[in-house]
Amino acid sequence: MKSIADINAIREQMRSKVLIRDNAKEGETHVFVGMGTCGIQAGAVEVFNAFVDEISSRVIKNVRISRSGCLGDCDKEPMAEVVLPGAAPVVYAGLTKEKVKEIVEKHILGGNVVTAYVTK
Amino acid sequence: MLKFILSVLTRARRTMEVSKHIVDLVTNSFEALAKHILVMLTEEADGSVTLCVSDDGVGIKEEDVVKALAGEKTPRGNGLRLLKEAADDLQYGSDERGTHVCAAFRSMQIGNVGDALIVFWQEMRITAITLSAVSPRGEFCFDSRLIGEKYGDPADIQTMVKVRKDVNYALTNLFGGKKE
Repeated sequence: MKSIADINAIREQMRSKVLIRDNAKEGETHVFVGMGTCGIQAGAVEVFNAFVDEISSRVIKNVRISRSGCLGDCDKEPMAEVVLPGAAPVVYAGLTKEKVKEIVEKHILGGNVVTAYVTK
Repeated sequence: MLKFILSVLTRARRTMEVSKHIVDLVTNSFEALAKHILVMLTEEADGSVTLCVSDDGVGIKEEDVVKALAGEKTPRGNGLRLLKEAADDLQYGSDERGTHVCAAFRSMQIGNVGDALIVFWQEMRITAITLSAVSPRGEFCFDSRLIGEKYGDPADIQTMVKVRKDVNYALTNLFGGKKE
């Protein structure tokens, strides 16, 4: 049985998550990197920063990089979800800096999903 | 009011750098709906390092902490088990006005704290994160509320890169690079 304080906490938590998603501008690509404990252990912080490096060094506009909670499959971390404007979310697993480079080049810039890294 | 302190002494596996523990603990603070999160990193003259994270969130239930320390899935308390294993001493207190976690390490790799902090870039616009780092070589303070004034447009990814570089550079100087 949850207390009123718990329910309020859940409501506020969901509201802040919705707020972050709603703040995304139209036409903006969004990258969510899974930052649960299992993700952090597997290298999610490095993957997050690899996305930052690739996006900033190529001066790509309209890309937002955020953390998310655990993406649900600890064995496949580090994972990230890439959402292009008007497209369905694509979840990548087992990421490395090299794979991030490829995803930025082919998917975010080229619009082609890198199917080899998509989680099954 | 729920108030408790856990003290754990362990000769532990040191699997994660301090910067990674910061990501886990700050995530917990966000889960507790904190409005202000304070991260304090201190190196003593003998080389020991203390990491403290305090927030003004709604706290965590004692039973969740017990579960988290046992490595069980809980709504909050991410990474506490790993911190317990890595730290030489862990102090923990929480009630409905906030949570305070303090871990002491005899020696520990600090890692890239700037890389860790920018993970929360989007949330920093809603919740203030303050980093205070002190060592015998000096001190450094970062406050996310001053990003716009000190570093540039928070919506620009280049500002994120500037903050990361600044924090990493300052902490490398303070803590003398990576410690073993």
